[in-house]
Amino acid sequence: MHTIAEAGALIAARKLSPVELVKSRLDLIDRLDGKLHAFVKVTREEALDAAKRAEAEIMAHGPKGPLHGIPVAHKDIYSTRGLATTAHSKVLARHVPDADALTVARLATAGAVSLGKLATHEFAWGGPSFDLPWPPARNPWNLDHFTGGSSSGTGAAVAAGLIFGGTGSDTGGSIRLPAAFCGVAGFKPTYGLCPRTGILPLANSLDHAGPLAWTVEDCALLLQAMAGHDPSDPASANVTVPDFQAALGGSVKGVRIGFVRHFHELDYPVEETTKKALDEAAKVFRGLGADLRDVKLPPLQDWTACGMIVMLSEAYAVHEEWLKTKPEEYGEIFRDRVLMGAFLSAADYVHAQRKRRELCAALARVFEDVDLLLCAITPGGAPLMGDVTKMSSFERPSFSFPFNVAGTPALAVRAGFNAAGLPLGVQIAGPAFADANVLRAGHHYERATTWSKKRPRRDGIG
Amino acid sequence: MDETRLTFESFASLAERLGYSLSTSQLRELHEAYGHVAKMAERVRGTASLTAESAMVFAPNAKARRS
Repeated sequence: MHTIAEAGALIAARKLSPVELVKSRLDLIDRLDGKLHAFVKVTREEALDAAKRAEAEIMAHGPKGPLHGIPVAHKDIYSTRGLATTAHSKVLARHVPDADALTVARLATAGAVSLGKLATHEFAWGGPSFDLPWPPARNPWNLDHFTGGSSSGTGAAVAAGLIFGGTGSDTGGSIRLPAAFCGVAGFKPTYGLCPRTGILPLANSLDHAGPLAWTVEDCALLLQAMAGHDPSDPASANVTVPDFQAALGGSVKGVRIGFVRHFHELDYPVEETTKKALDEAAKVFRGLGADLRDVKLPPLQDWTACGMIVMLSEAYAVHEEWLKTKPEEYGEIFRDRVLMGAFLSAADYVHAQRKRRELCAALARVFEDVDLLLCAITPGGAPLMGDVTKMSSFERPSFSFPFNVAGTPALAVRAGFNAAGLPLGVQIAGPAFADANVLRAGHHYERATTWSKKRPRRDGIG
Repeated sequence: MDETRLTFESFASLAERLGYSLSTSQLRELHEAYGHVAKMAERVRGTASLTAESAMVFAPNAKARRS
């Protein structure tokens, strides 16, 4: 299977038909999604119509860009005009927006062909749940295992090759965790780089929109279309969007990378295979000429506590009324997790926001001495679905939360496989608006390793 | 401070005052999880000075169209 960059080049050379490409993905969805459950809605006819239009435009005028005719899909918290946007919840089962999310519209303008809406954990936090209108997505590497979340459908669909890329959202790790567990690339941009206009919120001050795809380069191509200021989103950053694909060139020689060892060695010790993958990633970067050094940040527990108090408070504010008027329409996991916000005080929220400023300052000080960070993203490969408990997110620290708290860019990229054949990931992070540098490092790491050559076996799914 | 901040009875009473009608088993499960959340809330209560401000993410110069 091609990447977006490869397929885009073939389409531009008129060696690959967008219609045939979309048909092949729809056929694969028919074959595999009955067990994978990555989609909550496949928009077959609309996708074929869009592919035909794309093909006619390309034949007449050439492609608009590298996404023209490329099959994608959207996490079901991204509004889609005339098409239900449910957050995978009975609460919004009949919610049909009258406008596309801005990022959905931008991807369509770039020529990407949407195949439908993708599974998510309920309201981007509650999963895996078995009491919702749709089943949870399954991990294509082993259907008994968790996809991670909350962009579960996007991670699963990209890994299985049902789509070339898709949208995700990340409040505490929801792009990077499914990317790591499903063995794809997932990028959480700087807070405000991609507008959240038309995306259902979980916790406004932590919510980020971003892409998942098979490669880092493909994430850069999707990000190019999604990023850019929108005054409708109060947090949208009015900055010039760089050329992310062009920025992948060059090298990482001389780049100073801080290795946050204490996150995975002291704060939350990881499995031995993950530790080896992290050490190996550091070695790869050294081999590419980067300057690796250990750095120290506040403990993971501080970042997680801060992020969790902010997330619970903001998410509870969004859901309070429905929790009181129609609690039975929520799945148990999301309902009980978000109810925790009811027992926090305004002072708790303010203290967390004050702590947040301290943590951001500590991170900024570290970025005076290094350009990027390398750290863990998960403690190991994807756990069994049944081993993920309702309240597990309160019981242990999170490797992903620091960069939501700080709003800085962070990438999950595959870094090997464990003994069970499940993917392992590492995380690369950078200072605010150094998104291009993070992507460049991830791209060069990916090209220096062979992990992206291995795909899940489709006969293990269908 | 007690690490769970609220006893089970206080927790149940607060849930009722907040308008939630929860079963005893649900209350017990939530109260147990609350122990972890309360520890996190305690952890963010640092030693910041009186003038230390909250992190702000709202950009006051942005023109918000949404109500």
